[in-house]
Amino acid sequence: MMNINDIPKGNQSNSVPENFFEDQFQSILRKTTELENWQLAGSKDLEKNFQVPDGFWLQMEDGIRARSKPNAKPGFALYPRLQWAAAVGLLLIISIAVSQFWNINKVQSDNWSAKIETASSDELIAVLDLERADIQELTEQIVAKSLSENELNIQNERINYDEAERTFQDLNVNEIYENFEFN
Amino acid sequence: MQTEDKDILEKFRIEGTKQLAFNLLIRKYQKRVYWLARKMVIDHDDANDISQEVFVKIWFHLDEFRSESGLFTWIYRIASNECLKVLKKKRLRFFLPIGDVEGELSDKISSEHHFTGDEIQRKLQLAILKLPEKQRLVFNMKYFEDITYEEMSGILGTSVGALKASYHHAVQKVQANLESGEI
Repeated sequence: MMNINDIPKGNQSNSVPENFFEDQFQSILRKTTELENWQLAGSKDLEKNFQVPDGFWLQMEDGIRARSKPNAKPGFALYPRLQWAAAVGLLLIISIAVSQFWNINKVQSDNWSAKIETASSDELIAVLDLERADIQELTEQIVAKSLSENELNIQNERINYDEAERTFQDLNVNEIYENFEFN
Repeated sequence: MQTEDKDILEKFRIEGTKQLAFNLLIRKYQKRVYWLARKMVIDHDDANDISQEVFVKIWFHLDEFRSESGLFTWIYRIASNECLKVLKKKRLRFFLPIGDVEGELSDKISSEHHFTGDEIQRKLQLAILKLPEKQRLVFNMKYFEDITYEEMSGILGTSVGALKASYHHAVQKVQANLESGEI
């Protein structure tokens, strides 16, 4: 283990050179000053190298005044490029909506075509009945109302099966065919 | 003769002279704001948009300015934030990494339309564009406009020591970029 007395002192061979810290400080200071003041010849006057349109400063003033009026137009209306962006965005939205609508219709019609081709006649009738459920319901309501208005209380009437059987026997089949159309 | 900031602020607080004060403020600061923006975004139209936005914000918020910092510091803070905001928007709009925005700006520097400086100035601009955005702001303010570190500290909200370190690093990077011969 190293003792405090073992550490070299004075001007022994491994001691810190005289003025070491001063030299380091001066070196850093020199480098900092160099960086601080560094510049390329003639490169500071940058503004004359960028083009500005004639009368631009007055145009800018007008633009600022127009936008800072209390009843100024919304911000985007004063940016031509934002107007373009808004127009392009709107067109994009419309085209997406149209294509989606067309796509949905196409899928639906394709689905229906496929179903009609493969469905049995019973399934088709069921679909049609389902589609016309509202019409059926409405018809039933009208009939019920009409019956109640004519005071024909057929709901509570008990069916006399003997009488019904006689009626059926009296029916002439040919008359039925004559009065109804069959497809 | 340019009006003092104090006079502008006093006039702005009186309803009758508010517009006059704003006009004086635009005249006094429009070029400095524009050139700060132009050095950051290179494109004239972008710099114009930024400048107008800065002055519109000043118009609507100057009443809230409490003179804790100088008017110039406050305006530059708004302008710096707007520049960084526009560069960020550019990145987001095109989903580009930082390097590609710099590439776009470098292309503009390389085209005759945007920049008419000699070869040294062009190379310096291209080397500066390789710096990170905030470091570029620090470099531009110190190198081209001789803004003190204390003023910069008020504008960017960063300590003087950090700004010095940032500027020295920026100078070293610019030197290295110029010496590398890649530009």
